[in-house]
Amino acid sequence: MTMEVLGVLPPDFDDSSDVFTTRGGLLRRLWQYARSHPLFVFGSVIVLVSFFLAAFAPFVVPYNPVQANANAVLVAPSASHWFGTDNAGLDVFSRTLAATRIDVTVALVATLIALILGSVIGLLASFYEGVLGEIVMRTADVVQAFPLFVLAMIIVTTAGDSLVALVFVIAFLNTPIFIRLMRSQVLSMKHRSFIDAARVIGNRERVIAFRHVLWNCLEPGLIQASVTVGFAILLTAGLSFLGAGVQPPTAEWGSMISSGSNGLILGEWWPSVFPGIMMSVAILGFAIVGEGLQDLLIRGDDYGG
Amino acid sequence: MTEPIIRVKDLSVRFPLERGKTIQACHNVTFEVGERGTMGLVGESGSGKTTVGRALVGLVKPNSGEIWFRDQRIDNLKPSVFRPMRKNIQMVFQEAYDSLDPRQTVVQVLEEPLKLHGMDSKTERRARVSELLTQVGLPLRVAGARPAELSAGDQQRVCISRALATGPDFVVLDEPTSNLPPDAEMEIIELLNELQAELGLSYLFISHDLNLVKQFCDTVAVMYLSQIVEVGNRDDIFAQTKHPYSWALLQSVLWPDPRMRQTSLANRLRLSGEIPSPIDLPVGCYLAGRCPFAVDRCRVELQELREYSADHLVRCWRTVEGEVSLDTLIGANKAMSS
Amino acid sequence: MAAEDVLRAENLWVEYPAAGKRKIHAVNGVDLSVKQGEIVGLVGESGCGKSTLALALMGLARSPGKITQGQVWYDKRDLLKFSDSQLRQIRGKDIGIIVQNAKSAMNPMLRIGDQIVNVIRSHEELDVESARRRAIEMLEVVGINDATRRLGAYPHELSGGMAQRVLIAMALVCRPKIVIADEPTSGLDVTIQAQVLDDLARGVEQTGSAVLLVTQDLGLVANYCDRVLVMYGGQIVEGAKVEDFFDHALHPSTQGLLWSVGSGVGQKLGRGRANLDVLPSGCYLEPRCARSDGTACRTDAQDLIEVTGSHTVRCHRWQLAEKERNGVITVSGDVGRL
Repeated sequence: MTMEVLGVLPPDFDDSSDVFTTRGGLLRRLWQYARSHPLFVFGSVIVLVSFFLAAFAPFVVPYNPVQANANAVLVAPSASHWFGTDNAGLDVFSRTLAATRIDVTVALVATLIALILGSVIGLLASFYEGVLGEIVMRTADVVQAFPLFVLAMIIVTTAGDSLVALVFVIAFLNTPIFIRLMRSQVLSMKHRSFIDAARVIGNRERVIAFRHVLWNCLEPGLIQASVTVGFAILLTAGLSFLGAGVQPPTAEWGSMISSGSNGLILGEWWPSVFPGIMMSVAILGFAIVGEGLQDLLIRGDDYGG
Repeated sequence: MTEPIIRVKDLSVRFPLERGKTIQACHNVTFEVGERGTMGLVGESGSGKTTVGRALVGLVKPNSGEIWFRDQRIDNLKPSVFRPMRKNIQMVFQEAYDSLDPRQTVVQVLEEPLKLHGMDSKTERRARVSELLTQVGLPLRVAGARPAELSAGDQQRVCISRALATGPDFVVLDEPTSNLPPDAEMEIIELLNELQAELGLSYLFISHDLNLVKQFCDTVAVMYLSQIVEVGNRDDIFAQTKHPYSWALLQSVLWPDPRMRQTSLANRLRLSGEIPSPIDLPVGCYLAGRCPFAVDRCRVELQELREYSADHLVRCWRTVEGEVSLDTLIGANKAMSS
Repeated sequence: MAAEDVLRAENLWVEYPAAGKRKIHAVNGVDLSVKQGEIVGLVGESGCGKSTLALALMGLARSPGKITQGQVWYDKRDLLKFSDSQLRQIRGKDIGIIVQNAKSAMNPMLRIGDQIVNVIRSHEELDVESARRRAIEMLEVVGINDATRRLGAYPHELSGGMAQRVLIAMALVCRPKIVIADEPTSGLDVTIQAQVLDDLARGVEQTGSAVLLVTQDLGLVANYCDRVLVMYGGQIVEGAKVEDFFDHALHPSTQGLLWSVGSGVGQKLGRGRANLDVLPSGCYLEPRCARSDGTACRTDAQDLIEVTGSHTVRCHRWQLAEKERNGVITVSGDVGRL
C-alpha cells in the first residue's frame, strides 16, 4: 500500500526556530554537548592530559626516564616506584608518562600532516576536472591496498630509524583516507550553486577552492583525524614493538611492552602491562572525542542552544 | 529606441556526453534586452532557458554565437579581461540557500564582491553593506547571521543584495522565486520591481510561471527544447499568441480566476506524447511529433524564426504565412477530440 | 440530488511534541465536511497545518504526532476508533490518496501493473486477469495511452507526469467515495500539470468520487474546485464557494493568499507566523492583522460565523472586508505589531 506512517514532521510544518542552529559558535556548542555527555568529557580529559604530558612529561615525572639504575632492577610496584621498575632499573611510571612524548606527538604530527596533505590533494584532485584527479585516486588506492604493517616495516627499515622518518611513514600511509574523505565531500559540494555564485561575482577558481570549498568539506576529515591519531599511536607502538621504530632506551610504549615481554611468564608483569594500559587509554580517549565530534558536527544540531 | 543593453546572436551551447553524443542545451538563440527593460524567458524544464542565463554571466562557454553587453562583445574574452566586467552583469539563483556559503555571515557574503572589485577600505565596505541591506529591506542585525538562521525569503534578499553589491546594470534572475512560498514570492517580485525603478536595472527573468511573467515582464521569449519558438512584446505573446507550443503553454496556465475556467478548458491544446530527448533531436520542427497541426513540410524543413509582425517573431511557417490561424486550428482540434 | 456528507470531521485536534517538552498544536478544533461528488480545495500558507489535517482525516499522524481529540465520520462510523487493519481496509478502497512526488510513493521494485493489481485485489475479490483489465481501463481514463504496455514499467522508468497519473489511477481504481490529494502536481511542468489535473477531473467524474485537494496553488483552486476551505494556525478560518472565495473573501488570511498571487485583490498580512506552541486565547492571526481592534480580537475566542448558507468565516470583524476591497478603508503599509 502506498501510505505508511512516516517518521518525519510534515513538509508544511514550520518549526524553524528549533531546526536551524548557528554553524558558528563551535566552542559554545562543544560546551553544551559536553554538559550532557559525560563520556565525551572523559575522553576530552584523556586527550588534554596526553597533550600536557607530550609537552611537559620530562619535567613532571619523578625519575629520569632514561637513566638506568642498576640497584633497582625489576622492583615490583611500590610506594617509591608506583609502576615498579624494569630490567634496566628504569622507573616504569616515569617512562610510561614520558612515552607519551613520542607516541602521542608522533601520532599527532603524522596525523596533522596526513590531514593537511590529504585534504589539499583531495581538494585539488576533485575540484578541478581532468585526468590528474583519476591518477591521484588510483595512486591512493594502491597505497591503501597494501597491508599497512608490511608497508610500514619496509619503509622504516629502508629509511632508517629516525623519528622524522617514522612520522613521514605514518603520515604517508594515512594520507589516502583523507584524500578520499575530502574528495567525496568536494564532489557533492562543487555542483552547489554557491560555487557558481562565487564565480559570477568574480572569484578565481583557486580562490573558490580554498576559500569556499575547503572549509565546507573539512568536517569528515576532522572527525577521521581523531580516529587516525589512535591508529597512528598503535602503528608507532607496533613498529617499535617489532624493533623497527623507536629504539630503547627512549621511552616508548611499544618498545617498553616488547622489552618487558620476556618477564611476563616470570610474573614480572608491570613493565609491559602499564604501558599497554596507558596506550589503550590514550587511543580510547581520542576515539571518544572523535565520536563526540561526529555527533556534534554531522548528526546532531540540537546543541546550538 | 535606445541601444539594447544585451544582445544575443545565434547562441548555441552543447554539452558532451559519453560515447560521442552531445546534448543540445540551446540552439541559435537570438534576442535583445532593452535598457531598463525586463525580458521574460519562459519554457519548461529542458528548454534551455537556464543555460542561456548561465551563458550570459559567463558560467558556460558558448560553442557558437555572440553575446554583447552594450557595445562590447563578452563571450570571447579572456578570463582576466572578463573578470572586471563581471561587476556589470550579475545573477540571482533559484535556490537561495544553495547559493550561499553556509559558513559565511551576511556581511561576509556582501563584502566579498566589494573586495574583489577593489573596495579596499573597510569603512567604505561596511557603509556599502548597510546601504545594501536597507535597499533590500533587511534589518541591519542580520549582518551577523548565517544563511541557515534566515527565512527563505530573507535568504533570497541577501542573494539579491549580493548581486547588486557592485552596482551592476544587468541582472539575470534565474527563477528567483520558484522555491519560495507564495507570500514571500510576491514580496520578492515587488522588491525587484522597486529596485529596477530605483537603480535603472535591466533584467532577464527566467521562469516557468507565466502568471508572474505576465505581471513582471515587458518582452517575452518562449523556449522549447533549446530553441526560441516565439519572441515579442508581452502583449503580443499573451494576447496574440502564434506558436502552437506557446499557445499550449499559455492555455495550461491555471489562472487564479474561476471565471477563466471554461475558456481554459475549451482551449487547452493537448500536445501528445512527451518532450523528446535533447540528445536525439528531430530534423525539422522540434514540435512536429507532438503538434496536432503538423504536416509533412514541418517534419522535414528546418524551421527559422520568421517575422509575424514588427518585433514579433515566430518559429512556425504555417501561422506566419497565414496558412492557418491558431483559432481555426483549435476549433478543428476540439472537433477531433469530442 | 441530495448532497450527503461523504466525510465529516468534528473537533479534530492534532499535536506534536517538540524539543524541550513543548507541544506544537498543528490542528486545532477543525470541523469540516465533504459532500458527495464535490471537489473541495484546502488552502493556506505554509505551516498552517493543511497536510497534517489531510493525514488526520485518514486516521494518520506523522510520528511523533498524535490525534488527540475529535471524530472523523465516514459512513456513519468514526474512523479514529478503527484499528490499524480496519484503517488499511478503508484506505485505498473507500478513501483514495494521492501524494506529491509519485515516484517515491510507489514501490520501486514492483512493476506498476502489479502494484495496481495488488491494490485492487487487496480490497476486492477479483482474479488477476479481471484486475488487470480494470487497471488498464483506469489507466486509459486518466490519460495514459498504450496502457497495456505501460503495465510492465517500473516507477523510475516513468516521467513525472506519467507517474502521477499512475498514482491517480491507483487511487481511483476501487472507486473510492472520496480522494484526498495533497499537492498532486507540484514539481510537474506547466503543460503536464494541466493535463494531469484534467485527467484527474475526468477520473473522478467517472468514479463519482469527491475530492479534497490540498494545495498552495490558487490556480488549481480556481480551475478545479467547487468549494474552498482556508486554514490558518491549524484552524479553518474561512469556507466559501470558489467564486465567493475569489471575489468576496472575508478573512484577512484569505486576503493575504489572494494578494500573494498578484491578482490585484487582497492585501498583505504582517510578517510572522502563527505561534503554535502556546495557543492564544483570542484570534491566532491577531498579531499580524490590520483589522484587529486590539481588545476583543486578542482576548476572545473566535468562532466560525455563518455569514450565508455557504460562506463561513472566523472573524467577528468580517464586514470590514468589503470596505477594504472598495478602498473605503485603506490598510497602511506596516501592518501588524511584531
